[in-house]
Amino acid sequence: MIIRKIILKDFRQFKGHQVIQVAASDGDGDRNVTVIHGENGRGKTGIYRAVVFGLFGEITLNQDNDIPEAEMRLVNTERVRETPEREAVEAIVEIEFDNAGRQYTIERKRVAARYQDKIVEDPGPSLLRILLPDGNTRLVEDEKTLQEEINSVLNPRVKEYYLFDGERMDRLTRAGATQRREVAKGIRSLLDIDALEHAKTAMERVTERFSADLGKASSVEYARVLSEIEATQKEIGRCKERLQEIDAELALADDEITAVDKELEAFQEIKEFVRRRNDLIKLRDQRARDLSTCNLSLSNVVSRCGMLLVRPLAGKVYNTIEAVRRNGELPAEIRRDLIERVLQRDECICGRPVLGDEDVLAAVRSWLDRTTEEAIEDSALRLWQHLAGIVSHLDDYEREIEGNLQSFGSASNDIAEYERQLDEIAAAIGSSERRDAGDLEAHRSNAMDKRLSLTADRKIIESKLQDFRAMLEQLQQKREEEAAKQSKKDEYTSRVEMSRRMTDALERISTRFTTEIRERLAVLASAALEEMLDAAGKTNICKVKVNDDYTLEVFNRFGDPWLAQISAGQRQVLSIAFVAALAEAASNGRLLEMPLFMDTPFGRLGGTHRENLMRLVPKKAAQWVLLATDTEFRPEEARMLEQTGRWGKLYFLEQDDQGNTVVEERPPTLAAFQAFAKDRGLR
Amino acid sequence: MSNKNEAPAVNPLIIEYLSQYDDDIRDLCRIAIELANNQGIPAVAEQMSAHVKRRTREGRSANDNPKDHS
Repeated sequence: MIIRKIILKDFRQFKGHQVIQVAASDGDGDRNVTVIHGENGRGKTGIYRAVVFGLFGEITLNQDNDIPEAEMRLVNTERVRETPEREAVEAIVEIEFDNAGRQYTIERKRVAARYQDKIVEDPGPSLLRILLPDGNTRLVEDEKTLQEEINSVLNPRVKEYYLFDGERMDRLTRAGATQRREVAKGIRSLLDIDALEHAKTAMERVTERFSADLGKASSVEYARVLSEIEATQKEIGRCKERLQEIDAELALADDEITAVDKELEAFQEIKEFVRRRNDLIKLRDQRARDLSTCNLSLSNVVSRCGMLLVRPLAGKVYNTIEAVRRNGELPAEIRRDLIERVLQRDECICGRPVLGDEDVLAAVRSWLDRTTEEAIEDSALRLWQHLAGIVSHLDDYEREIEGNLQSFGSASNDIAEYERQLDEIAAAIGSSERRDAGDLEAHRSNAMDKRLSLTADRKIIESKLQDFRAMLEQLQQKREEEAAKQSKKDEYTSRVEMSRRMTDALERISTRFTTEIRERLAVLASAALEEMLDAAGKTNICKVKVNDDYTLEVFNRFGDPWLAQISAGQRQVLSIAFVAALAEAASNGRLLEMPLFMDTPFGRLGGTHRENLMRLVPKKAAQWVLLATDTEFRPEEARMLEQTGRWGKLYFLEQDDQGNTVVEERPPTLAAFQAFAKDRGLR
Repeated sequence: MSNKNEAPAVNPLIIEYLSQYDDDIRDLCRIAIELANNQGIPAVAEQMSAHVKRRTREGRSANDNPKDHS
């Protein structure tokens, strides 16, 4: 989507007819940056508002907070005042844009009239004109169809990433649970993850439907298996839904705890407790992770623990056989069957008779007593070898288990100690002389209890989910066996098999896609951040991670999570880096044809950040519309922008005698900017 | 960003992943993604039924008229 022109008529403080042509790469070479410069109150946000109203018909912005729509006035008040009573005045926003070979013009109106001293404003008609590639024009007046057309060009959920006001930027990195969910939704939509999810859900439903059809036409056993599969799948679906609910509730509880902590920090005497508590929580969580590692190690060696119980007996048997072996009795010097043959035949192997010589006979009989059967000897030797291996390892097992048990005990003790200290802190805050602090602490404690209970629930549901999945796998196997029994695979069976294979394929692709896209986003955001941060920022912030819920985390050079520590300016840079990464990921490396509007984005940024931003953003977005105040965009910034070679349009928002705003175009150069600024006495 | 007018309806990365599957799965999954997002579940079911019916008919036809390899 490339915005060509924004036309305003009697919209907000823009009295009369005003035109802004938006710079675009295809029209002005690489010059895709439009600067709209105005002091506070001149209507920069009014232009942003006009774009949101023009495209989506929305008359309030996020930053309007709780202003009811009924109280919002978009029609120029002065024009209404000077128009005779009861006579309608129209505010018109017209936006011309191109997308995928089509030219669009959307026109939206608000109508206002004066009744005595009151101004009443209502929605006016809207019209969308689409010039098709074949030269025909299509007109759309119906609001629903019109919005569907616009949404197909710019999904309203992703507009958050292209139409920024200064406040909204912060949200990407510092958001409550609700906003985080909205952010995740937008990203999923922008990156086509939603499309895959819809297909997966559709295939699950289709499979259910086909299975039901097959069930009606199949053997009793087959039908039973199919029905059990369906029931199990429903249970899995329920578990997944519950997990999502729990995650949402957990996020809310976390938000609540964070909010309370913030309020508590405001009390000077409690601030230190809150800081100490946060440190303790980090330490406790680290030890909890250690405990979990110990648990895992112990569960790996638990099967060998039984060996330690038989250790005395195994040692005794080993020592007994070893003693016999050392005496040379095992294996016997002469085989028993040979001695028995000598006695039976009364003939030595040398040919002499043995029974006649009492001494020889006694020696042979003594040999016979000391020998055992060959099979028993072999068994004894195998047992000896086996025990030798076990006995030598038992010491290692014991050391390993003891080590793990010690670590486990140490971690448990530490956790108990941290918990005790945390309880003390909670008690200290709760018994503070400040009653409101006590109330806040009680509130926090409730949120913590809720969190604990939710975490326990989550574990139970996860375990259930695992069981159901294992059950489903068994049932699927059974289904295949039953299907094979059918002499002929009919159409119903083929349909079910095909839909199952598709569902499996989509599931695998979805997992791979979401994982890879998150990793790609993290890499791109890290690279963009590296390009935008100043030297100090680069020292502290090294890597961006996109969490499972698409929220962001940054890490310092030691690999520690660092988001909570970064400055407001760095946070803003991070948001912009993330948006740049999103644009790049969504366009598969090409330039994404979306205009990026930023309303007063430089507020918290220092010089280097501003310069880096001006260098990077025009490369990442098809169009960049920069709405800036006189303190944000000064000759220094004009010089920086001019050096990028990307500056395509410059507009000043000027105030006329009646307090209305007039849009004045100037050449996009430092010289023109300086001349105008000097003329107006700007800094 | 996907656009129902001109831009590819399915993300190229997803198409790349799908290429590892056999023709049936690849084509049907692609159709399922497009239809599920534009027309809904009944359209997906209808397309799948039609596809399987066609495949079954092709299979029967091949059995009824085996090719002479002699």
